[in-house]
Amino acid sequence: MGWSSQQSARLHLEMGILSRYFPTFFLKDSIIPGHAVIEGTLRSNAGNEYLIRLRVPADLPNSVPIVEIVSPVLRDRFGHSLVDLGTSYPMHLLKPENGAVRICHYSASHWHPNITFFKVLLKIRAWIEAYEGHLDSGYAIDHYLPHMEA
Amino acid sequence: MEEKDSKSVQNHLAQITQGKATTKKLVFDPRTQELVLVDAKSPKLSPDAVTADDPTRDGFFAC
Repeated sequence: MGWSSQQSARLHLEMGILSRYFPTFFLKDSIIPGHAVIEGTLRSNAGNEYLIRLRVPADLPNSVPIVEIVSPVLRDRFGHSLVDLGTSYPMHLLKPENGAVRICHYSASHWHPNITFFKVLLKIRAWIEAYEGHLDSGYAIDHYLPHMEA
Repeated sequence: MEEKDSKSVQNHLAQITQGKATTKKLVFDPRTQELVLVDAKSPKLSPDAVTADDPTRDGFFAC
């Protein structure tokens, strides 16, 4: 079963916003709900590029999208792979799957269908800047980015 | 005056996280894909620039 007409319209809207603000992002495997992903590159102020994959939820827009950093392989300041850290409260990481780091951006309880993928990616953009701050200073990422209030 | 070096942006993020008041606001400039600090009372960099402080202040899920 495919997307509903409302979901198709929402996907179209999301991609329209992203084309304006994050133009490298494009939709892949968009036919089957649950398989669609949006991929693109985010570049830090220092000029480092990160390949990002956002998994479009099958029940768009009602669930939090999973966001993964596909490349490069991320390590902390001390040389440990972020994948090996698993779920990490101070680094804002979810349990990784398929070898990709998953960023902990919104909880289900804080999610609202009005939140756009643009806003999600803007948070990921800030996470990247905080990650590079961690590499420089050794402070955990929650030194730069706060936790959501319960 | 705008600032966009990584250190300044990271210091700004840390200040927000610590709840400190700042005279700058962080905006995302889609033309350059950079996060830029501008004076809080000054006009935005470009018509397309968007405030990045608010999503940051919202916080990240406490997993």
